[in-house]
Amino acid sequence: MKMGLVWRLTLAAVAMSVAACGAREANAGAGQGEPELGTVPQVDSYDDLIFPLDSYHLSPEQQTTIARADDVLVHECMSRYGFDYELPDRTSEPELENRVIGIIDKDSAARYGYKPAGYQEHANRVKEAKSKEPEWTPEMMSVLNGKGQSEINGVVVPDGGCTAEARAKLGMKLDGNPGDENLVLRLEAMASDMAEADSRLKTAWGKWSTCMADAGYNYRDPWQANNDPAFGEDVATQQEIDTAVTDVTCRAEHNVNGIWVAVRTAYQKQIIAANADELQRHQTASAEQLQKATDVLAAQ
Amino acid sequence: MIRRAAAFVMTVLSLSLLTSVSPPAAQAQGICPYSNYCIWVDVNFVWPQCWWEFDDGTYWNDWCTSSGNEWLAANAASSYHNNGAPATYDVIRSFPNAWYGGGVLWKAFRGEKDSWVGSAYNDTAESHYWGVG
Repeated sequence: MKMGLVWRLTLAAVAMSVAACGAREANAGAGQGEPELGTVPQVDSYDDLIFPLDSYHLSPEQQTTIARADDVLVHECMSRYGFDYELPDRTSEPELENRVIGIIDKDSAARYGYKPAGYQEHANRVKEAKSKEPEWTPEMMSVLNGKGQSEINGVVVPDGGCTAEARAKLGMKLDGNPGDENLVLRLEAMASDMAEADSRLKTAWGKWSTCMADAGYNYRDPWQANNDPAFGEDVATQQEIDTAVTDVTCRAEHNVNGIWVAVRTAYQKQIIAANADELQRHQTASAEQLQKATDVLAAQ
Repeated sequence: MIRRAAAFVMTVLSLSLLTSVSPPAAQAQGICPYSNYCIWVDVNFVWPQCWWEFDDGTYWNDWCTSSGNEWLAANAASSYHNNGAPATYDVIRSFPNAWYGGGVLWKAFRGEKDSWVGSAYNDTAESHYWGVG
């Protein structure tokens, strides 16, 4: 009886502890066994490849709109403390290809190995942009992040600084809950993990591994090849290119990409069903953020 | 009896928190340099850490603070900090595989500090690049 009470209290305490981490947890869905797959497609390109959770992301242009509005609001806030600077140039540009299942394009593999097209140009643009931007002073960073004095020249610094003030005005969140893009990213990562533990994908990976071994490349799964430290050079070596081309060939031979896409899609659908309310609230919050951002920019 | 049980629960909770989120007493919190993205191999920004001002497609081949090599950072991120100011490229995309593969794990927005990436993400980051928004 005494132990029963202790254990009940202990379990309750542990449950409270877990609940406190709720923003980091998500429902994977309570499916019985592995989900059914729809039609297994043939996949050799990321063009037109769409997954169910994609629709819960804002477009790159919409994300840029919010970033620009954030820039404006931060600048307005910083100016209250006498700080002025040029707003960042947030010209939209194509993101690097989001290769959720790794390399699938033979031409790209033959040219870049395991690296995505445009990776060097992107790295160079980042270096160039960062080298040209004036460095913020420690005083500016203190006001930006709210880490220094709480009042400057008689003006109160917002709690969390100008960053927090701007994000509050836009309704932006960084807590893993609806309104934070990381919520959707977390669900996507969960679906990927579940897909990669699925027996049907593991079987396909096994066939791929045998195909690779027959060609002289020994890897247990496609990620092990992708992550080989031997391919860490900035420019792909011939060894990396040969491995990557064989990788794509073996994927095609056993329709690994199609099975991977079908399995990942099935788990994303399961996760969407299990988190429907949270995702609906996220869509609503994202739309509100976008509207507020549009209003801020329109007022300029 | 109730008080003893409550004391036991508090002890369990305290030990749980100590082992899950508190840094070892002898270790210090690392500072993230300005305009850099930093990750730590332990929660609460405890060393060893790595930092990058630019993109990095693989955490296996470069210099890294306190370890001399990025291999500690590969598969080892438990907390992170994007210590940037407003700039063209100020949002980090972190990936679970080299060369930006496997889908975005998390976005680290400008100024964002996360003392614990969560059990699903722990020890998974292997590459990142800086994005526009």
